[in-house]
Amino acid sequence: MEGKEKRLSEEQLDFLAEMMNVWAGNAATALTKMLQCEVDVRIPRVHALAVPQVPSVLSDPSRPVACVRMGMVGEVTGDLFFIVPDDQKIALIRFAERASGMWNVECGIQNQQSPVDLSVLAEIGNILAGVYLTAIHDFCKLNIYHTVPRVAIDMIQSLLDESLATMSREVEEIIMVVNDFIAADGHITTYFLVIPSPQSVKTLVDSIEEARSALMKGEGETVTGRNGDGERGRNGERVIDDE
Amino acid sequence: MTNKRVIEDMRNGRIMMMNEKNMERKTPQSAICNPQYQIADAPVRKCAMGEGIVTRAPNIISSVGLGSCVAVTIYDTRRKIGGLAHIMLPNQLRNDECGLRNKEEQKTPQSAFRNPQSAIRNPQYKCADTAIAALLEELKSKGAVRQDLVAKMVGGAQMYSSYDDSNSGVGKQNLMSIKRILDRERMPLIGEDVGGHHGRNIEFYLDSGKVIVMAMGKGDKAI
Repeated sequence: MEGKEKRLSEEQLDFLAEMMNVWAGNAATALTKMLQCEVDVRIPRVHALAVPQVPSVLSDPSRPVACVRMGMVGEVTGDLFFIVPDDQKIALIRFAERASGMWNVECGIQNQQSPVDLSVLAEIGNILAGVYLTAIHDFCKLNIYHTVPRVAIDMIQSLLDESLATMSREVEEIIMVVNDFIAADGHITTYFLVIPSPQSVKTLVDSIEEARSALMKGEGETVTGRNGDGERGRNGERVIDDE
Repeated sequence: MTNKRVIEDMRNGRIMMMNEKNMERKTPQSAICNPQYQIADAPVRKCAMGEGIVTRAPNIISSVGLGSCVAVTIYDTRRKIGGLAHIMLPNQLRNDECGLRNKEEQKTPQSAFRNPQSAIRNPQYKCADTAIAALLEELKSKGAVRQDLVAKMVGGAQMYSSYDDSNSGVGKQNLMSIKRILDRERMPLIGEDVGGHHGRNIEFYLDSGKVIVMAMGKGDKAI
């Protein structure tokens, strides 16, 4: 019985995914502006997983990636990761540099990353996290801030394991939200991971439920009319857009 | 490795801690195995995060993506029995946190997981103190002799370099805790590749007791 209390129901997980979808939409818009190219976002996947399974959801645990790690502090705590496969990071950085006018021919030719490049990557992660958390704030009225981004390039599991280890102290099952952003005609696939700490998952879901009931009161027909999953997502988005 | 071989090994008691589910998982998709060290047809056992494996020659235990986690290998040099634990945390949070609660979960394995197959198989391997105790116990039950055991450890990196290089990282705490425990157990630590800011893959060759450490952008290193 106690175990059940802690766990989120499948419906709650679904709802979390729907809301994350809206927030991820905002982040994708930000990314589109930053890179000046079309960025698609897939419907976020919400996973409830045992710790060893977490890295394998993304890809091979030993796949090399560039990763920007940020912490969430405030009413919801946890970790945010912006992950770019190692072979695609140069392309992403060049996109960003061109868009921001930083790009110059000399550094465009060389294929190795410089400290500046890594800081560009950190900045992209930083902005995405900001947009994402602002969207959560607007919707759920939760104050969440993110900490200074830190970048590292290595195997995906080794980059995630510290955060997973700390969280696995308290729970066996970790809630993870995966957002895929696909940019430049599918050439760049990036991930944005949200791993709320065990204590925060409930806060997050509670406030989503609250916001949902508030919406249902306010909007009446449009929101209560939904039944299918896809329907729900689109309605949710429209409601946000109107605001 | 064929199923026949597995069954034969099981009959001979060569494969420990193994059940049907386990058997499917360990079919070698691990292309990471280094041919220069590999003995033909030596089965590779994959050790996931927070798990532990005890087996004997000529098997190979591999574990990938060690960041702040630490892999501890304990090897019986005479009998060629060895175990590897992929340790995530320095110690139990509280007395009841890691060991005892997990024991309860083992009794009712379905309780905590949506998908019972995704449960960690041996939860006591998550924390250093319980993991080393579990390894020793498992080794002993497989016939290893305490006097011949030697230990090695790999991992414990601080993946994100930041301004504070103090002892606050999980990696460093793991290393300190493991060293302390090995000291207490009077287990000789004969090799280590620890710290730094990079992840590692390891392969533990039970034939020779060698541990091969692989890191991105660095050469292989045998300890």
